[in-house]
Amino acid sequence: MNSPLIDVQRLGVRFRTRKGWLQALREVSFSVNANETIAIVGESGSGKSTIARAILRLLPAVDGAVHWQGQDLYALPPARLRAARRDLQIVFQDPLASLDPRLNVEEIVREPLEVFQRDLSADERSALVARVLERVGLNPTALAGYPHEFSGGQCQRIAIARAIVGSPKLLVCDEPLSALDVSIQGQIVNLLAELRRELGLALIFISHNLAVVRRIAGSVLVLYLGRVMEHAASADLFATPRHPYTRALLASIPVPDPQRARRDAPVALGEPGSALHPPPGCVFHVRCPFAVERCRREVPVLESSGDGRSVACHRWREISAGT
Amino acid sequence: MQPLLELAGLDVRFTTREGEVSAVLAVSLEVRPGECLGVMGESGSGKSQTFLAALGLLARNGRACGVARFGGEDLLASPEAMRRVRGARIGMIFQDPMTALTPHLTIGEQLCEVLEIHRSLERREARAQALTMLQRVHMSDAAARLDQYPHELSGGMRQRVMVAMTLLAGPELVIADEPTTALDVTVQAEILALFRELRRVSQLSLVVISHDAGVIAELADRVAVMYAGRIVEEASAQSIFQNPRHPYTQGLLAAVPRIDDRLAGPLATIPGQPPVRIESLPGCSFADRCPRVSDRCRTERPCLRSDGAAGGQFACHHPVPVAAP
Repeated sequence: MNSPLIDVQRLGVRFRTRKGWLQALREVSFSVNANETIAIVGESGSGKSTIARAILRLLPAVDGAVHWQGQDLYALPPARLRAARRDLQIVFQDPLASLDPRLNVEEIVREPLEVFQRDLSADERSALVARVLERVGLNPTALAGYPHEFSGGQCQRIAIARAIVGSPKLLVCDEPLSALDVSIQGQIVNLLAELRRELGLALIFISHNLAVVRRIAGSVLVLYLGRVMEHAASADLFATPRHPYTRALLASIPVPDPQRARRDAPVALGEPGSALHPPPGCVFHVRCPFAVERCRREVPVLESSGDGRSVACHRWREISAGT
Repeated sequence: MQPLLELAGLDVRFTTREGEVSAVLAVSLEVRPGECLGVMGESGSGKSQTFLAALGLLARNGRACGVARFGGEDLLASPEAMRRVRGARIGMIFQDPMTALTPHLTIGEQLCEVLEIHRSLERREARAQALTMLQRVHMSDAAARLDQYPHELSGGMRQRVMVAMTLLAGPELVIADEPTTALDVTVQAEILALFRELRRVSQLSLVVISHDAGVIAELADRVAVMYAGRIVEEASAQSIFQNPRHPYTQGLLAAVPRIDDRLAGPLATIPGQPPVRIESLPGCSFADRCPRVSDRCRTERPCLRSDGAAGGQFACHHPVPVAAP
């Protein structure tokens, strides 16, 4: 059996803040294979962007382990880390901020080749850059332009070109659509899905937009205050959400249909908790309509239910049986 | 029925280093008493600038021409009327409650200030009313919140404070510009429920400006769709969502992935991107992205025309046909 491309085991990340330690992630485990898309969803403060930083080794140290092709990413010697970095690429939320304003598009997209593929000749690099830019849907005339001359959607295409030019194995997309208009979002999602198929990429898609996630991801990890609430195949998760938080999240999404919208009773969850002072027991119990005494005391473990899904809730079986 | 707010022939221009740039072109619309008008459009469509202009809140390099009539007076012609109406009879709620609140004043001080200025109340009476209003917008621990500062509250709580502050002046019309865009989706659902409740209980007239078709569908009775500085379609929420007539409206709604659909595969998209300079276009500004385009669309700008029985209007030479009932 092939080992997964990336394997995250009991990942924990803490940050020291002026107000004390902030546990951004706790006991997060998942793995991704080539050709797979996993979505990481959650609201602000859930730790989803911290996962991206942990996987790319952009943090000095983590608890638990991140294995990249079977090797401990945080124990790699510099030369091997450099090789791994070529295979691990990221596309950020704010496309303009993630591009160097002083470089033109050709220089931006060629830079990874100059760092990671010095064996290529200048001509080969230029040809590769031109081919990749065309693949992401930009005109050859874009080569000489600077980031500020492009719209948000075009900048995101440039950022994607830069990420894939060195033929990476894993692409992390951290809220790649949030800064884009609705009519442009679909273009970028479709491009990412096509590239994943063509290049056999593994894709980690971090987003708060569940309607988009449903269309692109094979499996979904739902985070709340740094912990995994539920992990399941996308089709299962959206058809029969098991964790009360997943249910609330799905019920909260406004549907663009005035007749349907007003029928539904509003969800009343109360204020989200703080990662700085997470509640004892289940981190979601404060907002959970199903919480009982046990939830206030005892942290539910992420339990595999044998059908490829896992849920961290004491009561999910009862709740699922009741609906 | 007399409209509450009426905009007629509104143009907005900005003077920039690259010359004059138009943001809003010939916008006419009305808000009727008791209704919620949704204004839907993407960034740069002019939806926010339209209402900032109507309230005299444009950036310093901006200019508005046209008419913004409220209570029989043209606000754009009378700075004195504008001062009397703004904040008192027309309230505003913005996207980011943190920048709309004063960081060094407590919630109580900011709420009381509204009552002292607009209603000339004594501090003690003002504080009592502020508390009542915080409770009305379902603020948890309302009494304790009065003595807290904005940074001590979450985004959702701050937006509740903004709503309370706006309502304290007793406005007839509230304009909410992307009121839930900065919030998490579970908090957004609660704020939308609050708006629905306030409308039910107090017959508040509301303008909701949003890029999010879901938010518009949750609140609006009537919807105006803006593209490249103009209104391209306006109709009841029902018609807009069930039978959009303008190809842009149709494309925009199709591009929104829905949590309740059963579709798989690629998302529907609108090719290309919105025009950057909107005033220089000879024909329809959507022509380059439109699946129904003809030669006529590139030379002759379509005017808004009535769609007949449904009571809406659209600006298109080749509208989407009326769906069979």
